[in-house]
Parts: sequence; C-alpha cells; structure tokens
Amino acid sequence: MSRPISIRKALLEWRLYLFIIPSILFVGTFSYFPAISAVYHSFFDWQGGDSKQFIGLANFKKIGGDTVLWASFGTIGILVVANVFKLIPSILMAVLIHRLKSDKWQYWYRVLLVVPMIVPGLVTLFIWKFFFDPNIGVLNQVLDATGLKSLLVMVDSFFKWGIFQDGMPVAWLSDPNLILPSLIIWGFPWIGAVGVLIYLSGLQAIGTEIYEAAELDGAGSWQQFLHIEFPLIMTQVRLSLVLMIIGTLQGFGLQMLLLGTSGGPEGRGMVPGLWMFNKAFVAGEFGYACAVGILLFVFILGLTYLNNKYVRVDK
Amino acid sequence: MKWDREKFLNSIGFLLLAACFAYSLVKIAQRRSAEQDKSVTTIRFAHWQLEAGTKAALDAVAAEYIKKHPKVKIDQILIPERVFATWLTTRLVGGNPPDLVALGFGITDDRMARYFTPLSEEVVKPNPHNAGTALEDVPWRDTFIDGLASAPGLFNLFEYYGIPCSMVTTRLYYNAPLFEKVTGSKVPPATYEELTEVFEAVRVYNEKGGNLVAIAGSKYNSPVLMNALFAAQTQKLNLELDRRRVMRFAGAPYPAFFDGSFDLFSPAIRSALELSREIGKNMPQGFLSLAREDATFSFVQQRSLMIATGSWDVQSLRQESSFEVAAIRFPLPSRQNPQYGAYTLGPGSEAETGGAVNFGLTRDAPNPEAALDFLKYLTSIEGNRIFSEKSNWLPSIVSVPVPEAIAPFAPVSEGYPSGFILEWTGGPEVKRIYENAFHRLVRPDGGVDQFLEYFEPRYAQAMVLDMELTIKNGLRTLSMQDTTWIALRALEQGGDPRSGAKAASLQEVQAIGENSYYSRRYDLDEFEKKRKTAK
Repeated sequence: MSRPISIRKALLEWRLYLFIIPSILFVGTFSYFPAISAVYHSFFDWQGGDSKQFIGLANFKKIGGDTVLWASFGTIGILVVANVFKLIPSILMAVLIHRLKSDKWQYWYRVLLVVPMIVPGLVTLFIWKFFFDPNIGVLNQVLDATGLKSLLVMVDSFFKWGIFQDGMPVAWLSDPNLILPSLIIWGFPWIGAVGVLIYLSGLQAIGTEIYEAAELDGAGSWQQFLHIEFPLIMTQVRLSLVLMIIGTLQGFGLQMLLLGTSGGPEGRGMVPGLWMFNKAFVAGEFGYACAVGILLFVFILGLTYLNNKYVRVDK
Repeated sequence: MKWDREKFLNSIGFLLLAACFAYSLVKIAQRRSAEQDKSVTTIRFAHWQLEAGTKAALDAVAAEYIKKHPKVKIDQILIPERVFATWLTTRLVGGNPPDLVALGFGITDDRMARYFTPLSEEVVKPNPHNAGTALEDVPWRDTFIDGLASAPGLFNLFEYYGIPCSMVTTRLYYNAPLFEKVTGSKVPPATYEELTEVFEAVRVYNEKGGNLVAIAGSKYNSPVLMNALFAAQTQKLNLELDRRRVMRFAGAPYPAFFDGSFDLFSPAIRSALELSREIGKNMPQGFLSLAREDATFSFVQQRSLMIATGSWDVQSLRQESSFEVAAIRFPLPSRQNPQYGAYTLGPGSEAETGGAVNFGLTRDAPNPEAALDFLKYLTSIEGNRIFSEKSNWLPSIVSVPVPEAIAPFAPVSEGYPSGFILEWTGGPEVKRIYENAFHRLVRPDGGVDQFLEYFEPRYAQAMVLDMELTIKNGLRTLSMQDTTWIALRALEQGGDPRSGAKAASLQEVQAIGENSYYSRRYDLDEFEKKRKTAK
C-alpha cells in the first residue's frame, strides 16, 4: 500500500487539482445533488414542483404498511438469487475463451461477444417482448417444434398447475404463475459481454507456471477450474455480484416494458424500482417515491456490504 | 511523405468523431442563432399523436399561420404516448415546458392548476381568426361542437384549461372483403346478438382450416370494446347512482361506494363482467401482454377480422391495409337479449363525446400571447378545416364540415346516457388492482368469481387510498388559488372594480370546491368508522 503524502507536499502540486475540479463539479451536480435532493424531499409531501409540505417521517411510516412494496422485495429477492446463477454461463464462457490455444480465435470470440453490445438495450427488450408473444412469439414456436410443450403439458397434468394446456399457447406475460419464470428466462443464455470481459481480464492475469504446476500434479480441466481459475477470479466475481445486485434492485425497465406500470397480472412483476416509478409518475406522490428510493439505497448498501464481507477473495 | 496505412486506419475513428462533433456544433449554433433573433417568436407545442397524417396536418395549419405571421416559427414536439407522462412531468417540474401541451397523459387537476394558465377569460371573447365568418361575434367557447362542456379542468377546477382541436369516437373496424368471405354477407352486425353470429362464423371458418382471430386484441385495443360493452351494462345502475344527474362517465360510483349504495355484488356489475369475458374469448390468447402495434399488425396482416379503436386510427389503418377497411358503431346487447338485456337502456348517445387533443397553455410558456393566438387559429373555422381535411380527424368547431372519409365516425347524438366502467370508479390504485386482476376474468379457466375473488377484497382499500389522494390534491389545488384571490382583492382596494368581481367569482368557485371535498372527507370518515366497527 502506498504511503500517504503530507498536506504540504500535496499542496506543492496544487495546479494538478484544478484539473480534477470540473469532474468533481459534474459528479456533484449530476450524481450527488439528485441523491441529496431525494433524501431532503423524502421528508415532504411533495408532488413535484415547488410546492411541498414538511411531514417529517410520515413517508417512512407509510412504507411500513405498504404491502405492495414489501411484496415487491420478495420478487426482487427471487430475481437476485436467479441472477446469481445467471452469472455462471458468463464465467464458463470466459474460461472457454481463455483456454483457446489460438490468440487469433480468442480475439474473434471476444469481438463476437462485444458486437451485440452495439444494439441498444431497448431494442433487445423489444425483441424479447416479441419472443414472449403467445401467438407468434419464438419461445412458443420453439416449445412446439421441439416437443417440449407436450412434456410441459404432461408435467402440468401430473402436478395440476393449470398453466400449460394442449392447444393453448403459453401466455408468458399474462399468467401470474409465469411472470417470474419469464423474467428469469429473459436474456437466455445469459452470457453478458461485460461479464465475460471482466472475468477474462482476471483469467489472463493467471501465470502459465500455475497451469504447468497443476498439470504436473495431475489436475484435470475441471480441477484446474475449481482450484485455480475460479478462486483467482473471485475479485472479478465479487465485482460482478455488486454490479448485479445494484442493477437488479434499481432496475425496472424490463418489468415496465413487458408488464406495464401495474406490474402485470396480480402484480407479480412489481419490483421496488417500478413501485417507486408508479408512485412518482402515476400517483404523483414524489415525496413518497423519494422515501422508497432511500429505502432501496439502504438495501443496496447493506447487500453490497454483506457481499464484500462474505465473498472471500484469495490473493 | 510516406503513406502509413496503419496510421490512416487508426485515425478513421477520430476523424468520424470529429466530423460528427463539428456537424452537431454547426446545427446547435444555427438553432441558437435562430433563437437569439429577437424578431422571431418560436412557439413550441407538444403532443403524442403519432398517427399517420396528424403531424402533417398540424404542420399544414402552422404553415398557413406562418404565412400570416412571418415573424413566427412553430415547432412541433412529438413524444410517444408511452413516455409522454414522464417527459411532461419532468418538463413541468423542471420549469421549462413548451408553450402548448396536449392535456391527458401525466395531467391531474392539481398539475393543471399549478402548471397551466386558465383560459376562462379568453373563451368568452370571440375568436379573432373567425372574423368575416358566421362565427365572427360568437364567443370562442360557443364555436366548439360541445360548447367546451368537456374541457379539461372545468368539472373539478371550474376553469377552462384545455382547448380541443378535434373530437374522437371509437368504432369497430373490420376487413370488408374478409368479412364477406367468412360470414357470406356484406351486412355488418348491428347488435351484440349479431356480433355473436360473426364469432360463430369465424369458428366455422377456422374449423375448415382457417386461422383467424375474430377481434385483434391488445391491452390498448381490447379495453376500447370491452369498456363500451361494460358501460352499456351499467347504464341503468349509473342512473340509479347518479343522484346529482351529472350524467358523466364513471362519475357516480365514486361517492355512491362510500355511502353504501354501490358495491361489486350488483347484478349489473356481474353481467357486465360476464359480457367482458364473452368478448375476451374472441380475442387472441394472452392479449393482455400484447401492445397496440401487435393488434394493428394482426389486423393489417389479415390474421384478425376486426379491431376496436378510435377515429384517430382511421388514416393509419387505411394506409397500411391492402384491403377495404370499414367501421361500425359497437354492436351492443339489445334490451331483448335474455342474458344481458335487463341492465341496458339501449344504444348509447355520443352527445357527451368531448373534445380531443386538448391543448393547454403552460404557465411557464416562453411566448404565451403568440401561443394563445396560434391555438385560436388552430380552432378557427379555417385552421380547424385544414387540420381536419389533412388528418382525417373529426373537427371540433361547429361550422367545419366533416370530411367524407370519416363520415362514419361523426358522433351520433341520439341514444341513452352511458354507464360506467369499473376501472375508472376510483383513481390510480383502483386502476392498478383492476389491471392486476383482469387476467382472471378473461383467461380460459377464469371467470367472474375468480376475478372478484382477487379484486373485491382489495377494492375498498384502493377506493379509500384514491379518495384520500383526491381530497388532498383537490384541497391543495384550491388553496393555491388563495394567492390569486388576495391579489385580486388588493387590486380591488386599489380601485379596480373588475378585479373585485373576479375575486368574488373565484371565492364562490373555491367555496363550491371546498364544500365538495369536505363532504367527501365526511363520507370517507364515516365509511372508515363503519369498516372499523365491522372488523
């Protein structure tokens, strides 16, 4: 760790700090000011604009009895757990690319992964919306073509779910029982370009001598992954986990596009971010929405802390 | 100098970036210099009408206006309806809205009063752009077909905040050649009973190898038809509940619920739900997850025989379809219908069809006088005729002829007052739980009982929350007028008698409003007491 320099020494290079000031100003204005403003407004009955009434902790007390909000935390909990598993394909993909002998092919695989990133996120969301279309969507067509639909109908009739029926297209987004599975299926095969590149950077830092030693010890591919590669990319995994938790808890664009602001049938797709949006832009309760935002911030902070504390990193 | 290929390739990206940046810079500079030309006034108006022809029609009106006022520039801001509310809220809260805004998405009474200028004083004066016509001396308000009776703000705020440049009606569109092929007849259904015969014909057609959906459904289009049928079933109930004879769509059940005279177990409600379910069976599976464009594609690609939507879509559907598109009024159950006839009065009147594309003048408008003048031109005989002819939208002004292409969409005044729909009996909470529950009504193994099992236990709480919000917002909106009242009284004391009259009128309006909200507060408190006792 580098030693801190004295204030006197630091001030000698005062001109350098001038270069940082614009960045600090922008970050302060566009990142910190809105956040501080949200904290301030969470203590008000505020409907947007300049008129507001101070109500102390009333918004936070209201949160206590907000059944929709707490139910939405249940939904987000399931999505966070599912997203942890959805990190696995990216890790495996990174390992496979890393193990390619040819540098040229490694390069082309990386390019192929990055190319889809050019497609705007909204387009991807619309394509997935089309996948879920019950009548002409790709998902139902694949289920029909592969015979998986018949299998699902069989399983359904055994467990008496009443979801998959012969002759009826699967209504992915209009059956409350299928809302969560749809949100989890979204993004299949869950290979995120950013994730793969992050893991690759970690994998490339592993020295060849470690692999050579492992091979001499008779370690197979799987053992190399389990005992060498995975532990040594834990820094990257931890970073991915933090980004994923933040993204999942904050995000609501997918739910809003697929299910609307009410969260779809029986509100099964309602997540805290969507509820915050609903309260602000549908009900016009901006003050309450700010309070929900503060609660979300606390949750994210807590989960990030737990993640950093308990996800062990081997140096 | 030696040609360096690598250097050249590396600099392509930089050159492209620099070119784009330079182009943007020039464009912004051009725009800024135009804005800084003090002699040119720029009017900006925003709306979400992206249907074919509407933008061109408004541009044509603007071009005609600019011919008369060369020092004016008019910018049309088109925002998709999906994001309009969010966009507008941000602009209003941020204090930089356009001059004129279409009122609808994202607008509540509270926001209207806070961010828009009341036009009540303007609507009683004649529209100067009607000079030399039969409407020359007629107050602006009376030049509208509905006399501005449905103007935004009038019902709750007692002020005119929005001016309509069109009217809209809803219709059942159908593919005429396919209709004849499937049913063997050219005559469209006039009643619900005849519509069920069409459904049967579609079923037979599909049994013979066809793959046709009777009505293209989506979460946008399906409610258009379902709501009309629902409202037809609640016509009698609405008259019973509407003790003040307001005769407004969805107006009556709100107070009636709190005094105990309305609940969800009314036979009319059950019948209306049954009818909604019947119609839903003839829409594609999972239509609640489909969007407006999905339904439109299904219709224009001839995968659906009919589609329910408004007059605003006539131009788009005719342009995009390779077949003849015809439209009819919704076929409603007749009074003789053994299952649904008991609750209906008869074909609904469209006399209450209000104005559409209502533009409001924002308080922070950069050019309020110029914007108001343009709005007057848009709703003059000349401006509204240009708009109607170019867009194929219905005119909102009395002397403007309805273009022949949209004659079937002209509102029909004869008929009975409409009923209400469940979704609109409250506010955002009722709407949310209704949307959450609706799939239970229309899914193949669902039904009215399944719907009520979810909806009914949540309905009372949602109504309470919505009523509390309505009262809170209403009283706050009224209290905001206190400043105006004080200012008017001060002017009166300074010797301006007109301000005194205005202050007295405002005071009266506030008293009526407060009386209404406190009486709702009383009803709500009594209702809560009863709920606690029942628990």
